[in-house]
Amino acid sequence: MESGIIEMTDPLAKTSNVAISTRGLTRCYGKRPVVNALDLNVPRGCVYGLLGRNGAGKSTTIKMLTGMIQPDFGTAELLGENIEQMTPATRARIAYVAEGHPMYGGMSIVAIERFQSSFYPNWNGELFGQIVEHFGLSRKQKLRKLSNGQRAQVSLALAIAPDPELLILDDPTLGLDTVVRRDFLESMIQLIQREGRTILFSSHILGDVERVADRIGIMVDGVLRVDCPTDHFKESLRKVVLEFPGTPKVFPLTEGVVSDIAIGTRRELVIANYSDAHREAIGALSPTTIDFVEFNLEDAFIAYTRGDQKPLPIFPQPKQNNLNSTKPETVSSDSK
Amino acid sequence: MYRQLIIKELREIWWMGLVAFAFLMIALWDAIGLNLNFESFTLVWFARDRVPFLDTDFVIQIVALTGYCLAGAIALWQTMGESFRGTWVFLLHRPIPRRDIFLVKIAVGLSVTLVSTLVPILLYLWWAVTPGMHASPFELWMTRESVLVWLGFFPIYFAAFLCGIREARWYVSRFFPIVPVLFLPVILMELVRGTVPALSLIAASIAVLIPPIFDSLARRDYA
Repeated sequence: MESGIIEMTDPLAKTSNVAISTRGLTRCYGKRPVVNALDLNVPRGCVYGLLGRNGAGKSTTIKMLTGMIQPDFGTAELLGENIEQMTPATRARIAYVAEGHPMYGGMSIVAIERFQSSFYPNWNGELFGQIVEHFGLSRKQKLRKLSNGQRAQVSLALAIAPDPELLILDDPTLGLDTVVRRDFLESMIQLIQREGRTILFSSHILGDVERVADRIGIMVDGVLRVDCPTDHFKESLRKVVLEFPGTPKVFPLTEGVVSDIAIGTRRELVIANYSDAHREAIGALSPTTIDFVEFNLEDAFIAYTRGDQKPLPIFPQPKQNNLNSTKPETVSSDSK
Repeated sequence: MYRQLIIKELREIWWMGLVAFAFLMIALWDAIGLNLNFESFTLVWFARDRVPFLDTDFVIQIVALTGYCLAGAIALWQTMGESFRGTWVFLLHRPIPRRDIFLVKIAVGLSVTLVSTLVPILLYLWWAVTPGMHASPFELWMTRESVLVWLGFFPIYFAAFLCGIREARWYVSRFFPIVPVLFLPVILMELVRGTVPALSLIAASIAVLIPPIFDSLARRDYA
């Protein structure tokens, strides 16, 4: 439901004190825009989670920002410098952890540290050693013999030791088990955030994003649909389940309606920026019950990005809302 | 930092140079008649009894061909190897100009090929100039044709490097740049007479290949 997808921005994004700024950034594969006219602003000192389903354009965006993919249109600035003319000095202030933590498997941890440190004047060897020690890694280990989680840890140490002002991570916890993932994220936040640095990271793990991100951006089909503080997004989306005596009545409004699904005698609405107009429209339908469901970030993300996709026909029609794991909070429409 | 880049490149390709060098040393021993009496080990596909450097001999048949293969293999390893391992994104985020990263790659790749093949040639030359080693006259000018053919590895290296980094719709079409360069040794041996024309042809081939290499490195995606 295209009309239901609305921009959610707040004034913070418009300030000039931004670490990352893009204007109309576009990249097409063939005729299909993978990233479409992206206007993104990441304030300095912010932990920004970039979310989206597979193919939404997150990785392409990050690769454009780091200069690995050329944009077809638009411009981007990192730390105030255009990415196309980025000087080595500015690049040295930006750490980038690519998806899958690619490194040279033939190198040991000592060798990769020696390699990496030679490029960064601010290299903090002591910090690198502390991180490696914290993760229980032996410096003599070859990178190819490390597990995915250990490689991620080495990547993090390599990214943080140069004391970057901006850290860009492309799905850094992909493929890591829960414990390593949690440890990785907490270490990342402790190490970077204490210095007031900026982090941009993409992730599929919504729980991780909810735990660490100050702001989120959600990309849908290459378009940045949401750019706001994490809590604001969760609070802005509301799921309303209306029960009718017979066939559910049609909800008359389209503005703010992210999804609208009729299941049996029930109509499930996901509404962004729930307003008096929505409340009145719901009241006018005279449903027998109105349930408001509280979202966590994952529920909100799924509801927002899934749109009107109906349950698979192989599953029986659910009696209760099955979109989230939290218990629906039932409140009357009057109390809203 | 450049030292570390050089070490990194050497770390990845030294073994290729060593394998080629070892092969050439064995061939050299065979060429100069020091085959350790292992007759069955003799490399029969080049004539031992020819005039050193003047006839199609050790340098052209063995060293030049090995140099071509080595140059092509190293260039592809340096480029496609990064693609297969997904390490371009790691390497290219180094805070130095991207052009410098590629120049280091090229310099190290050419150096390894050069050293691996030049040392056997110099040893062969030393053997050839030493009186009493072979039953034929020898003067330095006789080395000219062989050396010119051997130098054909330079354009082959650049062509393979271009194949490795350029984007193409199909894998096969990606290798198109190397096809014309493969005729270069034949042209150098059979058609071009004179040092200056031969060197000019080699230089022109390299000059044609370098712009698309740097165009590719600037424009292609490293995803």
